[in-house]
Amino acid sequence: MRGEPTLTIQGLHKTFGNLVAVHDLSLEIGAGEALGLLGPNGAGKSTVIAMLTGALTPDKGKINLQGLGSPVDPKVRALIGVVPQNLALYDELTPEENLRFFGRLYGIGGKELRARVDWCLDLAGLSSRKKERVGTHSGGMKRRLNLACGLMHDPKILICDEPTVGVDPQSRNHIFDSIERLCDGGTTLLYTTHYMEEAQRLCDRVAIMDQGHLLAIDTVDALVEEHGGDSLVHAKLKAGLPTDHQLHSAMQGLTLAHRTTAPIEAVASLLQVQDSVVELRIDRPDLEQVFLSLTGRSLRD
Amino acid sequence: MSSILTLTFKDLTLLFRDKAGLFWILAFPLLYTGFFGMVLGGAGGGGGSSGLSIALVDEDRSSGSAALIAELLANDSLKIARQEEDQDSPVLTDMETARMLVGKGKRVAFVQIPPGFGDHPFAIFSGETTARLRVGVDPTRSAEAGFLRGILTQCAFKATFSRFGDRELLALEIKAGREALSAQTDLIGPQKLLLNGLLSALGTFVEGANFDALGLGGEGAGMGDLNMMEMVQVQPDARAKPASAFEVSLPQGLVWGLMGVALGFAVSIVRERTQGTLLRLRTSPLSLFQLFAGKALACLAGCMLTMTFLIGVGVLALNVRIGSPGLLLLGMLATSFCFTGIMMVSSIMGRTEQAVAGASWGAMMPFAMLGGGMIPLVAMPPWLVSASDYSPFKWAILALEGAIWRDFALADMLQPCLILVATGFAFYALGLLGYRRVAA
Repeated sequence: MRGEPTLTIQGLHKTFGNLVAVHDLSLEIGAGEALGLLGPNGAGKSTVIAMLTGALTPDKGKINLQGLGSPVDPKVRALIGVVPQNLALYDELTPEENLRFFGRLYGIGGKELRARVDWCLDLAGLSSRKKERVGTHSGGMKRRLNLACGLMHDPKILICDEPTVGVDPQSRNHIFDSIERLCDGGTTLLYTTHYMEEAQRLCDRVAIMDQGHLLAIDTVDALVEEHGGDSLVHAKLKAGLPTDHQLHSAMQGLTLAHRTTAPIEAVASLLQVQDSVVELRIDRPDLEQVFLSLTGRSLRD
Repeated sequence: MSSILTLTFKDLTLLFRDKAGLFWILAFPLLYTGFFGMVLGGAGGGGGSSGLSIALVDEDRSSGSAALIAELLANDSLKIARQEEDQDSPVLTDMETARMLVGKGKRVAFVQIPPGFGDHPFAIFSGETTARLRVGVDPTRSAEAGFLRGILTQCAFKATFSRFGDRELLALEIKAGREALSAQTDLIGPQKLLLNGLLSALGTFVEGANFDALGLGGEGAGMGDLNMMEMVQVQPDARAKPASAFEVSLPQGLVWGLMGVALGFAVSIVRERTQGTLLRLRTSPLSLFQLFAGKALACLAGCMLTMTFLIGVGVLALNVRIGSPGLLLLGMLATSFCFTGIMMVSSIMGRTEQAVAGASWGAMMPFAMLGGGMIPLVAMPPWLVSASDYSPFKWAILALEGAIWRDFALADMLQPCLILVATGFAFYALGLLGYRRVAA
């Protein structure tokens, strides 16, 4: 964590009937930090977000935002910007009208409102289509506007709940660029996703959740180092290795697949005795491997 | 407050940008008002009956009055009915009720068959005035008085002519005549003898005559208006009647429009929940109270705007007259309040838009039909009128009619308005309680 905590969660617990949606969750997010909440569908990410935004009341536990208290207090909620998983927009209104509406709910008016609307339209790349009803826009445009609506009141912490679901690559990159700009500007980010690439690109730290439990939380590198396991060295050769070579046992025909904590050393030893390498690749462990290691299941299961 | 107004403005914008919704809110009620107004008689007068509606009072209860009643009932130009709560016989027995019905404008006229009417079956020829029919016509329907007199004369003659074929009755009348002749002291002997002979010959004729061949008892010839009825004055009740059938159909059309508004907002609450905008609203600094106050105010304003538009069209295009604009505003507010409650409770009838729309229509339709939204209250059978007390639609229509054409005083408006406001409160509270369950 970097800086003083903007958000502190202690022992958060929520059940729905017999289902434990979130179990004893504790974590902190520092000021200006980007924390990813990574987990498969049903991990409890959206329930956490609902509690963090005051939409759900936890059964147990405390939430404290910037030392001001829990989001049950409207003043505390005013510090939070939310980008819901669903497109939380009014199709019959234009982008400009949507932004004005959400801005006014936060007490913004006059010149400030106009300036914020223009800034958000620019961020979403919708300035040229601000007068057209949202219902006529593409899914990617709506996703970008969905993000912009959460930023109308210049929140201290931005909570994004899988904001790129069903988005084309161009719009996804646009959203990533926008979020990176916000993070560079000092906005604290809580970002839920089940795409490890998004977490790796955007987040300083990643918390891995499964079935309501927080399994691990750290930087991506630290998680990989601790839970990712060995790297995999792949090679295709023109001829087999000598029988006394340390990698001989990893050969299957002319293909090598060798798991190791020291892949560079393995490649070096391979190149010393074999100059007929056709193909060579090192697969480093990633968050997918981390999740597999922690749960025995894939993120997309 | 500004947040609530922001929510209200947004919801009204969404409501009036939904073209399909606008059809049900504005176009359908106008079509309904126009169609049923035409069916009920258009601008030519309310009442919705093809015949003259009269109250008939039989105080004589003789065979003579029965013959006249039979003729009146068989006449297609007349519609004879008792008060709504008693349908056993179409004939009343007391004048008080008859006067009340005409005074309130529920009947065009009353016809009173006085005691002794049957004792003088041929009095219409004799100028006898002791047992004449008494007719009281609603002064506001005086144009129809002449038509009614003609029908009554025709029916009285038919009844009398039918009795010419009654051999026993004629024999009794001849016998009574002979007795009266013998008791007569003004006549001299030859005159009495001559008249006695005439009555004896008439008696012999009655005994042997073939009445069927003579055509008696059949259709009577056209008769002049003899001195057979007495016109009496009727004091109209202070309450007026609709000047046109559109004044009856407009309040009905209005409640259909309000159903559209309530349903539109109920569905919008579910849509906000399913699309995620409700989550965004709930994560804003708004409290739940402000959130639903905004929805309620939007629905209330939507109802008021819809009614204002529809009543405006009614006044300008259908010549609907507003009895009391002030009371109409009161009735509109109370009705809007009630439908705001209906909106709230409708929104918890399902978890999806389709479920809420279907369940709300399903629940509202019987209440609308029961409350006079489809069949006017005045045209309902008595048991249905009693049952309609349980429908808020009845009170909404009554409050609107009260201000438009019933000439309600403020005191008269209080009952329907209070019921509407109380219903609105109850439904709104029920909706808020249910929201917690549905949203969980």
